[in-house]
Amino acid sequence: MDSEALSSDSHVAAVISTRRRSNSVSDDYSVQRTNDDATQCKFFAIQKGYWKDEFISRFANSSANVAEARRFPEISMGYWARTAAIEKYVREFLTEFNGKAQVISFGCGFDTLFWRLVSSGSNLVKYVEVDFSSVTSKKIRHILKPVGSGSIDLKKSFESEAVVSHHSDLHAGNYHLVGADLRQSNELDQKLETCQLDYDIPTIFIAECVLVYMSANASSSLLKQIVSKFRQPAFVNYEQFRTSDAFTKVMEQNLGERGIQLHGLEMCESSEKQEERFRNAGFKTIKVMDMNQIFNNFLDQNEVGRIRTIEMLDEMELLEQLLTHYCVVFARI
Amino acid sequence: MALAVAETTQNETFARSDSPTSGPSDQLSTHDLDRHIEKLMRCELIAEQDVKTLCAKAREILAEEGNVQVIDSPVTICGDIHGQFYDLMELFKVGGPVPNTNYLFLGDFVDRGFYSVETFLLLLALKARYPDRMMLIRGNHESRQITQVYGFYDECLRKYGNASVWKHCTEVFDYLALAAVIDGKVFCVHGGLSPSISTMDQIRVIDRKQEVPHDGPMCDLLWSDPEEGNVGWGLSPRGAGYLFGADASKTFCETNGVDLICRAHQLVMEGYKWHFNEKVLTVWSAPNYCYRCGNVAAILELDENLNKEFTIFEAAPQESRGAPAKKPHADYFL
Repeated sequence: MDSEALSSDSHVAAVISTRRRSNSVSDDYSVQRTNDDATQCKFFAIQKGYWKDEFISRFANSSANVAEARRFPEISMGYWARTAAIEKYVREFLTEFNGKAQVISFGCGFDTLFWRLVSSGSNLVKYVEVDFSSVTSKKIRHILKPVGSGSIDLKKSFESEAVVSHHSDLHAGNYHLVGADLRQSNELDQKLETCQLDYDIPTIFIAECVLVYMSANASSSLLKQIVSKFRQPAFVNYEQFRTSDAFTKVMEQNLGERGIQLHGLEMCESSEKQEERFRNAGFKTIKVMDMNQIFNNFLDQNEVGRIRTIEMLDEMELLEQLLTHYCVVFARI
Repeated sequence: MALAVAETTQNETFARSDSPTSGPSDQLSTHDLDRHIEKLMRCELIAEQDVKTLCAKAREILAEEGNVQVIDSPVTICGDIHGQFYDLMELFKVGGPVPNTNYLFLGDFVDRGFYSVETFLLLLALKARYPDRMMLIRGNHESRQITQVYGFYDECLRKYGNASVWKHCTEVFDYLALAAVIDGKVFCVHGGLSPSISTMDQIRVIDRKQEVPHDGPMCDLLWSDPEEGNVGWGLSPRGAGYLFGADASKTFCETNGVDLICRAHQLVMEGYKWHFNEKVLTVWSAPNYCYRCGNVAAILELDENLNKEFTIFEAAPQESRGAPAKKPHADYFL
């Protein structure tokens, strides 16, 4: 019997799990699971050669069989464009200030940018990652787990011995990983305090598909909190875009079935909405580009050419449609 | 058309084409086929041994067909399906059941959707049961190479535990016709035209019983796209086939005495799309493609006088699709 066939028992189970998801704790749990999905997508794309990342295998589930792990080329291409765009913004920022700058990644998940920067010789003052403590504690376990032959030791990138507190926070020289709920401003403040940040030097914030899970009020408060605390903040925000069409309706329905609610979707409707939110928080220069522009103009076109030939994309429209519905906002004071 | 009449005609055809050969057809009775069809219509798998027999039978039938299948109206033309089984059920709901309606499917039965196996085997079983009412031509996804990237191969492994079903099916792919012509007036193909082909006779002499090549006329028929404003032959961003314009389309129609080139291959949000002053038509039959795109689908009914009627349909409602918890999900950037 086909495992995908409808059975009344599994239907009942699904209905119950959907109902259970309606409370906020399990809603958060579903959001945290999006990190696993993103990590597996990136891991597959990296194995296919879309980009190089020798660190991600420490975080990915490498035992997933090929049939489960495979992603369509437009997904790998889109993850490449996102990773490359964020990295480009961060590298340019660090270069601009000769490394006398800090990076703070919100909703970092299992992102490896810190290790990619350090291994390529980038200078920076601090790299701080923040996520739900359930995610940071897992990330800590992956960072500290025994290193098998052929795999890379993430601890080698640290300036000093890693100190773990509360199972959810790790401090190691200029690298800090702390567990906090971004909607709780006091909790976030307290955790940032433990990272010995310099609030006066240039600091670039990263949020990849993070603000969209927060209500418009919560994300606006977060942005205001940053501007009031940091003297020279910049913000790279990657998330959904052009949300008033059929594509987004289907997305809301599909993600809803997985218990994922996009509470902040109204802010993703247009460039104007994004600009308004960042301007209201105190940012002065705001640039919004959809991922098609990023792919076709912002990123290295030799790389784009290489990316296009890795797997034969059977339908260009699929890639364009996806890229049209995501954007990068770069905001500065 | 009355069901009883159709059945009689089919049984006669069946008996005739079966009699000279002995082979898989001996092991596959009409009764067996009806049993398979019933099962597959419920989106249930048939046994591996039955797949083998069915594929052998289908190959036998398809081998007799020309590269350019000659079809009489009335017929309903369908574009890409891509393993979206429950949406194929919607298509049959709006288009009418087989064998009451004659169907021409323009390829891309498999890949990307969650039920490529059930979808392709159902279409194949219907082809074997009603060979003259069910026409299947080859799409670019009916290929060993492409199915290993876009899901059909993985799905066979997942559902049968080995690759033999995939192997049987890909052997059938090689026998699928490359094009069709309806009443001598409507040329049908999955992708489009080729700079190496000016007449239908040039298609008829292609040795089609092979994997889809990376270039050349057979590849182009399955991969090319019409492009507004294109003059001559342009490079396709897909990496295979060509972009062709109004000029190439007009020349092909005039040379071959056809009025219309009907093709599939490209997602169109409205289900169908006219090109080049109604010389070329795209028909797309996978609603909410990849369970993500939010598009509607269309089929084109041609009556005895080749009058056209489009029917638009949407994706099957959620409740008819199986439990969400068990369903693989559409991918986004999360």
